[in-house]
Amino acid sequence: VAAGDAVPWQVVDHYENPRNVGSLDRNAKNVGTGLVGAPACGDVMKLQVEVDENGRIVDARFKTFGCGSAIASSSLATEWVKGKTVDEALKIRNVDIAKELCLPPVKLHCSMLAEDAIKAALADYKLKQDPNKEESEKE
Amino acid sequence: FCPGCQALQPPRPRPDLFRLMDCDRSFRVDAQQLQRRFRSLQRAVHPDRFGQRPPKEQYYSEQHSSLINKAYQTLLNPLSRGLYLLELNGVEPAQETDCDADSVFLTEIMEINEKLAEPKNEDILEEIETSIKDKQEELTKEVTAAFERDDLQEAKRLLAKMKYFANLEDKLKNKKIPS
Repeated sequence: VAAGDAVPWQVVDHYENPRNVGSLDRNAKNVGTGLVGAPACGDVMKLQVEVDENGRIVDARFKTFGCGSAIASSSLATEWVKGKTVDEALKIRNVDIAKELCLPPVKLHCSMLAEDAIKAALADYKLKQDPNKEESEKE
Repeated sequence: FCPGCQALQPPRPRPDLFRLMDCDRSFRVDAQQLQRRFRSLQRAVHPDRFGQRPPKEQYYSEQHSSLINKAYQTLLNPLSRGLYLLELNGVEPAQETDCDADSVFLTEIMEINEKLAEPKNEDILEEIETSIKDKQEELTKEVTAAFERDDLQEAKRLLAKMKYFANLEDKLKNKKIPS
């Protein structure tokens, strides 16, 4: 195994000590659920957020089936969104996740998947808050 | 092989795997014909038959043999065959994330993954395995139809689904191997 192929310790850490694995009640009004997949590698990722009455994310959970980098990216994502407001969390970018985990170029799409999962979860939460607004915006 | 002196030549760069295995460039393949072609090609170029030949020919033999293995594996498996056909037709492999549009499908994949993650007995594993096999067969039929009417975008979409199931099949295989 070439030295360049070594798995970054950050990824191993999240893999062996994942933070926030699990589920929140997807039927709760203040829970947003994002379910995304990467067709190229067949990874699936579910990320959920619980938002309080002030628009701040108080809890987050994830379940990811895929490579170590995908698991680490979603684990890190749940750590990062906690404590942020919905708008702050929308600013999390895949490049930041990738940098934090020292992901090699071939695994950058995993961090993109995590960013998409965050956005999907927040979009779901927003939709649940005001479904009528979504309808009128469409017209 | 060189027609003059019968020495083994290097394989062509970027060969068409279908042409190499003497198959039409189509999603439908005759598995038996493919296997026959594979065996006859390996009989001609396998390194075991080149032990006494000059080192250059031995090297070419390894390249040929390896290429034929790759061609055979690619064309035998419906998923890899479909993806290769898309590639030959200039269709980019799916890169964008699957999102809400496919949430029913992704939920299903998620649920099967969760089931597999639990400690389970042999019977449940058999049940899941059979169910996945059925789904793959059905998807393969749909992909065949899509290619036949030249609907490459639909084929691409269906092959992406097959990829998720293929990953599940690998996980099942690993679960069955006693650790």
